[in-house]
Amino acid sequence: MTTALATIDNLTIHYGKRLAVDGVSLALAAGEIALLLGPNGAGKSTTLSAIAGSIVPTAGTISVGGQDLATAPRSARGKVGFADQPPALYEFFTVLEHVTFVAEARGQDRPEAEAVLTSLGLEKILARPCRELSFGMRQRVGLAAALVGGVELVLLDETLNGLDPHASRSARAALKAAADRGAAVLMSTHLLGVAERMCDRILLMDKGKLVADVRGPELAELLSKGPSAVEDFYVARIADEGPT
Amino acid sequence: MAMTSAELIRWSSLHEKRARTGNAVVVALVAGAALAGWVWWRTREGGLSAGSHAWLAGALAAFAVAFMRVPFHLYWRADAALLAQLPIEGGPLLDAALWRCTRAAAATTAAVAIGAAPLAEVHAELLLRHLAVAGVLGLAAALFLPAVAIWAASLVAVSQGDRIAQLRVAAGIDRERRPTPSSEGAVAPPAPSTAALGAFPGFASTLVIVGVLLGTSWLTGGDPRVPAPIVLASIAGASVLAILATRASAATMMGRILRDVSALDRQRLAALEIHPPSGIERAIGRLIGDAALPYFKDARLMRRRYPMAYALGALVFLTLVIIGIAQPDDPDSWLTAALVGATAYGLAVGARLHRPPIEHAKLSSTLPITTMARRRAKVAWVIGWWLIFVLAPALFAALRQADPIAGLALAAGGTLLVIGAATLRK
Repeated sequence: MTTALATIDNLTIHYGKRLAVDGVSLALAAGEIALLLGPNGAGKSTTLSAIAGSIVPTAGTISVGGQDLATAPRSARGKVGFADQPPALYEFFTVLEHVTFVAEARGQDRPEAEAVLTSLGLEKILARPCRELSFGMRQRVGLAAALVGGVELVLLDETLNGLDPHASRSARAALKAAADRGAAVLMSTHLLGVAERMCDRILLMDKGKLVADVRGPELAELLSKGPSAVEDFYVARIADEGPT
Repeated sequence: MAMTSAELIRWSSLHEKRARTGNAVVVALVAGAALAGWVWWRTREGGLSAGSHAWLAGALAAFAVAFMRVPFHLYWRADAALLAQLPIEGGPLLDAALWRCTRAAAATTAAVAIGAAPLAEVHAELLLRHLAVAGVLGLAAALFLPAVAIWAASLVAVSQGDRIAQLRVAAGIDRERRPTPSSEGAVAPPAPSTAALGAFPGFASTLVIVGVLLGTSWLTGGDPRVPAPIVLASIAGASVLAILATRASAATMMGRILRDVSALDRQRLAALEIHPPSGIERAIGRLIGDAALPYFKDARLMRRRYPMAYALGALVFLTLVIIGIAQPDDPDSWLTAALVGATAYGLAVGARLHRPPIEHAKLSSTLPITTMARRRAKVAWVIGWWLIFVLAPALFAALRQADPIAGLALAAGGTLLVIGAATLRK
């Protein structure tokens, strides 16, 4: 049995009186790439933000690499890279400066930042200020900042959106490489076709709850049904009620 | 290897240097020269007492702004959420924040010290007293206010459940902290006490300013009932002790403070209180025709995003009404400080109306609302704010004085500047 790299237990988050995440529990294994799917407002971004440590859960525990986010926040955060939506960039830093800053905060240095940026095809815009970047470029720099520093858990919130085919391919390759070195990847997306090519697991959220967890032979069977299998599965499981 | 304080300060300074539109040294010099000019004129017109009052009013207005900006140097920052996600120790996070506070306090102190220079002509020893007050206010801005603001934020960061657990441990009821309860049966948590983030620094600022005001006559060689040197030494001593205590205790939780305070924005904005337009807003809306729609949008968003505009407006209103009722010996200094401060804020808040999240130029350009209507809406908002919070009480305050000319001239000048800028801004 694979040891869990990240464990989320009974995660519950309220926004005022609104229950955004309702008792989500899951474990992510090293090297696993998991998709977090669900309708808009299902609680995906809130879940990712809480695991990244930028939202305070109402209840529940989160641990990464055996470190509890509440009791050992610095150690736990050091293992997590998060590409938020929109990505939080220092507008007056260049691309290289921004990613180098994040790398140094994680105990790495500039060559590591350059390597990650190069792996994502960003080597030609290293000196460009972040405030001059297009939407897709910002997504890629956010992804680079999430990957840099040898993190063990990569969290992506719609980060693959807005990427051109070349960028999308290099992003998938970088995520695969991260998984191959033992990192777990949890990403929310609506680009089912792009994501299903690389995922080991599909998590489905609705109304703040985790309603499906598909992996292993079950996932293989689902994917074997054809190019729109994940979309059909999603539509079958999630009622189209509009945002609540 | 973990990031050190020096490294974080270097990164932070690099970013702020590029983001800054003006040179801080030049701004301090210009502000100091302006204050010096005013103090020189008041000294020549009314003697040492008038010059000293003018300087004190200017100094207190400048430091009131510096005090209010302290939480923005500490945690109400665009990068708070990012910094909170990174594995940076609390010590470097706190040191970088204190560095920003110290730099801002030094600039304000320098400007205010330059402003006192004309008093040297009259009495060199009394100039030193003014400089001592400037130095103590600078210490408060650099050390005392940050300590209070961090303490207030730490209260917010420690959830109520934790506080209860700590109290139980302190009271000997529990031997050690109990784990956080699970979500089973959990109810929505009580709203975090976000008011503390502004209220405690506000209260501390008031204490410092009142302390300085108690010793006003000492500045001109008088003998105040409360010995001013003792009050000033107490403020300076409290500032040093407060920051030492904060450095020792809060360094461990600065990351949590950044995370929790930045998270509050999301959680607070997720539970907005939706109010319909007020009676005054509806009345203004009826007067401006097709600009009513963008005006109601601007007014709603300003109320939610910049409630400080209304709080500060209320403060200016009260200050002017008090000046009008109290009829002080030297009203011009107080009227100038209040109206110059209100004008500066009016110009700033007028600019905010044109920027996100209040205005999205790209979106607006795609909507069937004319540019003129959008501009009129913003001018209407500025006029409404200025008329209610500043002009009406300023007229009251000026007309209550024996010689209302200076007050009326200041009110007219401020009105021209604020409304003129709002009208001309594109």
